[in-house]
Amino acid sequence: MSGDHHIDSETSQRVRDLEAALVDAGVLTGEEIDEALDRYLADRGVVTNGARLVARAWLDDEFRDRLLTDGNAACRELGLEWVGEEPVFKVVANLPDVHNVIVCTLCSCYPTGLLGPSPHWYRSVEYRARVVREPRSVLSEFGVDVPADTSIEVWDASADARYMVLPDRPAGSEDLTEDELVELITVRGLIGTALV
Amino acid sequence: METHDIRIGSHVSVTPPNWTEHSRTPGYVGDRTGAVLDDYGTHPLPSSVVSGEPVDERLFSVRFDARDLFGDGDHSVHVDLYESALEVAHER
Amino acid sequence: MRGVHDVGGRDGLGPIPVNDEDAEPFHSDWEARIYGIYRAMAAKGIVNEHEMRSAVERIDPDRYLEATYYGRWVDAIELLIEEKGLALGDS
Repeated sequence: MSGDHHIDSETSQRVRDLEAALVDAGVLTGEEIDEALDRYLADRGVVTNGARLVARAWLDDEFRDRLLTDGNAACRELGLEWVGEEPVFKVVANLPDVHNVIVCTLCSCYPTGLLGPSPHWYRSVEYRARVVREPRSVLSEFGVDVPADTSIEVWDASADARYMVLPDRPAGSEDLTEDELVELITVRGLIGTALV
Repeated sequence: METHDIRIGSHVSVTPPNWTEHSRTPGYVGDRTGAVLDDYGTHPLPSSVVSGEPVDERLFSVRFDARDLFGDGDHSVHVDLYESALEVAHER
Repeated sequence: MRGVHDVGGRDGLGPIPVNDEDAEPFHSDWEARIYGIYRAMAAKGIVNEHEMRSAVERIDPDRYLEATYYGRWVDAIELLIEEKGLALGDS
């Protein structure tokens, strides 16, 4: 681990040096960097925006249809705003016999402007390489065992579209309020490495 | 041009990427055939943005069978591909 | 031949680091800082997402697999600073 610490402190110095170079050259100010961080992290959580879309879709079939047809319009309908450029946003529905999982094999693109930064494992070369090739094996590493008669659709966000999974509504959730439903949903459910 | 023939439902084959450009074609679909399931409209071609002369191209979502990509597997993989990477494939 | 970044379907990669915490976006302060630096540059139009991805693809291939995700960003931003002459104080 001391090797990692050495790399970490070396990298930390490189980042300080390049920030200083950019600030000295008048390219950026420290405040602009702080603001950019705040913009992407504030109120974004890891799931809330996506969970709200899912919970509403579980409660309202017509909203669900609109969400699956035009994810961008559905975001506007709920007052959800993207930070930065808004991509084509496509939501894909899990069904009893279909399970979806999202990846970007080339670099780990993710709907960051809506959901915030991606989980660390999503960006790993292991995930990027293996989920398109052996999704069942990858999902079982996440504790998700997809039955043999459930088909798996893997979505590789290789261009200007960004994807999110609409999990299947869990059994036993029938009496929950919308806010309680929002609490059930995890970032892994939105990527497809959990059932919800 | 043949690319005007590409639409939802088309079967298309994929030109392998030139890895020295900023190609957004993943190598694992190079020379493979899939079905166009969605049309995302036009978007700037990333390699053209990087080279400083941006051009817009149509972007499609193409679905491939794992068996065709890797020789095994019962899943499907959807990849988003720009029209210049695609050609209409003849029916098998 | 595929670029080193083009890993889809590649064999020989091991278990997914599933325990790498979902909720905390950054492992360390420098990761947050490089993230903010990129986002600030992008917001000002100094660099766009395509240039950034291209830079990440062009870092030393031997470093690509060894470096962490944000470690690649540091390499890439250094490359962009050099290529665009950003540290020369002419802007």
